[in-house]
Amino acid sequence: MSNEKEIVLSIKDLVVHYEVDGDVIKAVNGMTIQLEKGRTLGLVGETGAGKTTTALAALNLVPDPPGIIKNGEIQICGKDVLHMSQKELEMVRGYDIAMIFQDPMTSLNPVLTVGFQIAESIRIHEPELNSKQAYERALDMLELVGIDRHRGSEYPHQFSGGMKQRVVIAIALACNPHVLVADEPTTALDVTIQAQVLDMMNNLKNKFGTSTIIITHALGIVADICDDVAVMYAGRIIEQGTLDDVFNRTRHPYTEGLFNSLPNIKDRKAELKPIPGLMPDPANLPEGCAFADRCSYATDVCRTKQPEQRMISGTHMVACTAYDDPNFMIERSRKP
Amino acid sequence: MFKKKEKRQSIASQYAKRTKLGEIWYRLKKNKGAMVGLAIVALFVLIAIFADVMFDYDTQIAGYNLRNKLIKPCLEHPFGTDEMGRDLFARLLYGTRFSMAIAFSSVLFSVCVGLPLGAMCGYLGGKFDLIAMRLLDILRSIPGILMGIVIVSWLGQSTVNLVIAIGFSMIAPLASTTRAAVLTVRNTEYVESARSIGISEWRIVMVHIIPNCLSTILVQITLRVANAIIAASSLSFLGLGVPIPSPEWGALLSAGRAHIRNASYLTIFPGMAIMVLVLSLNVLGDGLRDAMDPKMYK
Repeated sequence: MSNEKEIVLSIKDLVVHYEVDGDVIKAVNGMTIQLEKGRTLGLVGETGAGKTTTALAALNLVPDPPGIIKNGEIQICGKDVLHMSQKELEMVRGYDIAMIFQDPMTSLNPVLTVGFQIAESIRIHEPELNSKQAYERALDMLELVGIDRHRGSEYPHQFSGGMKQRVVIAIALACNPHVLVADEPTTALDVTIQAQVLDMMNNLKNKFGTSTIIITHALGIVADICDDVAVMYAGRIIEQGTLDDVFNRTRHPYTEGLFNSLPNIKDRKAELKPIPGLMPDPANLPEGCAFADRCSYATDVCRTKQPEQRMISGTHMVACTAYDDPNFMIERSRKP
Repeated sequence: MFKKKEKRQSIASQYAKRTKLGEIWYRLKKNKGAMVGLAIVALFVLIAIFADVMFDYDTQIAGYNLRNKLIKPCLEHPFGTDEMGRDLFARLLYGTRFSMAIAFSSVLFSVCVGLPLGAMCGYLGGKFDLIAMRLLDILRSIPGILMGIVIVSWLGQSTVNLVIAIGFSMIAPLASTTRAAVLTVRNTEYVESARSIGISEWRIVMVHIIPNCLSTILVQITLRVANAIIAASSLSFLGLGVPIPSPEWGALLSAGRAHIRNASYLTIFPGMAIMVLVLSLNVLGDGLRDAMDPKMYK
């Protein structure tokens, strides 16, 4: 990535472990990622790949105990998040970086009105506003996400799921953060509402110039709104590049497997080809490539050697040992 | 016709803006049982406050007149008179003041200690929680009334000591209720999301966690007031309560015990008074919990 671009979030060699009753669960194992200003990065992977842990680490919110950030460096707009006092962290959270949680049903406080909950963030980060002004701003935010402003005095249970997620987004964007981390923002919503919410997020992102990380396992959402894609597996990034790189010039066998598990609308009779097996137990990761046991291209080398990350083009990175052989190609890229 | 209009009005009023307290009051008003409970509790509170306006303590409450002893309920003495010839009605009403004051102040005492202790245990967890809860377990393993007896006989018999004794035995249950409530709220996603927008720990506890536990705690408190009245009566019944001749309800019961065969009204009326107040407090507490739960708002 060239230097003239502004990096708003940079995660380097992040290692996060959960230590539960003597077991060490290796959730994130050396992950490096950079987010440029104004861009949207999709973080893709199956359940347990470490996506949410990465997101929480970006806010230094990994629950401790049992979570421990073993190694790594996280910078938001040049500020080192992992070595901050509690007070500084509180200033960064919500102001420089904000997070949208997975389930809107549970991420709003049931006994406080939504207007109060949006205003709370504004009051904390912009103390020059009095509570009335902050509340007005909160109602403006509510309008911005497409909810009538007089509903600010209502409680979360009076809203539908999609509207709750809009409120959650309004809280996250209330102080116009540089970085927005959306942890599966649409998983709990039905398809039509998903589209609406994504659309709205996209519009707001363009309006405010917020850089966004979207965590998801739906490739459709990635194709819809992301500029860059990073595929995670067992706590590592195995393929990363622009949307075009990853979708049209897929290199990693796991990414190929993800695409093969999607139904093809043009060939309705084709059988789905799910990836066999399960992700390895994060408490007991294999020595070599974590995907080797499920990979049809795996060789003996894969099982003993951790794959290196290699750059295929200026923007496209893949971590697969098979590319030691310059003639290696996965099936997807053989197709015309 | 009238009903239809009323219904339409009530729908309209649901959309009308109400303050938080107004909303709770509105919900409470709909609950008839709770309103009856509230009315009775309010009546008792008024009696307790104005007891000394209605009666002169020295002549009517404490002063005796043996010529009038053990008169059955009649117009002049609606609840009869006791063995000292004192009017039971007057003593019962005046006794409200003692019973209520003891109950409320002992609950206040236990809330002041138990609530922060329980909230800290629940929120901080870890070693602090472990040690504090085990100590409270030890406290709880001693029956409340026994502990009350020990404390009163250790500190001496007085109203203040009675309050301390009752309040002390209620700390443990109050703390563990608070702790349990905080524990369920502490790990919710909205607390996590509050953290993610940079709200300080202190504010999270005060604004996000405590209000969510409030309904549980409030019910616990109203039940505790009822319990405290019973505990105070029990201790007075055993002769460890307020000093004679203060007309505390339990003391009245205890005094009437000797005449339960020939003058049963001496035990029936104080017993009824205790029962009615305790029941009203329970019903009111129940109604309050429902009214304060925003999930019940339409």
